[in-house]
Amino acid sequence: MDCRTAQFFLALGRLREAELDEADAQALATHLAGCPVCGPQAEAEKAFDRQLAQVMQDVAIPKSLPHRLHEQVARYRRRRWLAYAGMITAAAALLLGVWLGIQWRHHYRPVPDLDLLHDQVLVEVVNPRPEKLLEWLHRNDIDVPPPPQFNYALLRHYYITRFQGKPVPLLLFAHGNRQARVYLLSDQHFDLNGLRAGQQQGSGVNLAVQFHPSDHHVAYVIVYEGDSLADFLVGDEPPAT
Amino acid sequence: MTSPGGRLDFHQLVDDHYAALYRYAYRLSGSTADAEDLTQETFYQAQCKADQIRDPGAAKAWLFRILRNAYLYRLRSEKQQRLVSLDGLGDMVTAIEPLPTFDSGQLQEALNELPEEFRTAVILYYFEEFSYRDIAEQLGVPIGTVMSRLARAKRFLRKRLSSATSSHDRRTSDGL
Ligand SMILES: [Zn+2]
Repeated sequence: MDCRTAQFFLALGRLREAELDEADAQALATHLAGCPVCGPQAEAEKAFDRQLAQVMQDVAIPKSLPHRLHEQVARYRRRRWLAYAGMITAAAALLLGVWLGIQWRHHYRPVPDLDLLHDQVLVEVVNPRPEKLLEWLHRNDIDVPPPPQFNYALLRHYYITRFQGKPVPLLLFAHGNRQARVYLLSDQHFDLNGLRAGQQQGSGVNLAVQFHPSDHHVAYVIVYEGDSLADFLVGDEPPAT
Repeated sequence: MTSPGGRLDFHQLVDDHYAALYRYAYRLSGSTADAEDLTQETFYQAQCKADQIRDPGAAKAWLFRILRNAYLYRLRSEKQQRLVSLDGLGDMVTAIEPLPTFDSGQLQEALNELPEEFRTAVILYYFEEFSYRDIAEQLGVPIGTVMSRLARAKRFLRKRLSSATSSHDRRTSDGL
């Protein structure tokens, strides 16, 4: 190895001779041992390196630094843990809410609301005048006139029932302890041509079929108790109570 | 260095590396306050990015990289450096010069005048036993570049510290 090459390696840094490959390191060592210029220079460089490395590390470290760093690490971990815990709590609350909702839907049965029942009955039964009945039919979009021949002083109740799967208004009349139920049928829902006007007597319960005097699209099926339907028709006074 | 769950144990990392990181930060920044801030910021960022690293053996280089990036970020926002040009310094050693005597403060003054990429290389080289390859990875440059920067930085330090010593000697003798 010549001086120029040796100087090149020296300039690269002696402390890391191990990073030169085996052959270069050996050649350099041989040259430095025998060369009156490069040898002393290499020694001087080594001394400078040692000095530099020593002074470089001469940095006083604040005594409290490690303690503060440990605290910082712990603080960060606590914050992260709290954030995780918050997320888990929120997720758990959500799941619990969903579960409770499902349970509620499966098991929910309402407590009977007596007030609701009372109001409902009150509206329909108290003072059932014919004009109120017409109003009610209109409100429910039912275009069927009520039977004109009945005595509406005897009307006690009306509602919509289902007859052969069709919605049918039902009027309930009472005479003493006897009742007459009147089903209002329209040819919208039934083939009224198959009906014959008349009465069928049965054992205690009788049936009558009547048509509206002017509107043949409407028929009334009456189920009544007692011997005569006449008690429920106009002209008969309701019994004194 | 990892907890039973396989995660890095940061308390252990603090114990193992805080001193080296603080010294590195001090030599980079030249200020004790900045060195403390940088060391704390390094561990904070490391905890935030803990999932980036699985191998505890790579933790030291990783922490040093985080610290340097934090330092560079500050440097860019401060932009108040007065740096020397190393263009006049060749890679070749030309003559045997007398060994200067200098202390930690004088060394720091000289380091402060070096451009960051030279300063970082020479600091890592001298006190943390980083290999050329390690330094190259820290700086993100080829090994050849690291060697060249180290050689030039050393030449500068030697010159600068020698002149500091001689001017100090001159001042001392002037005073006598
Ligand atoms: Zn030689």
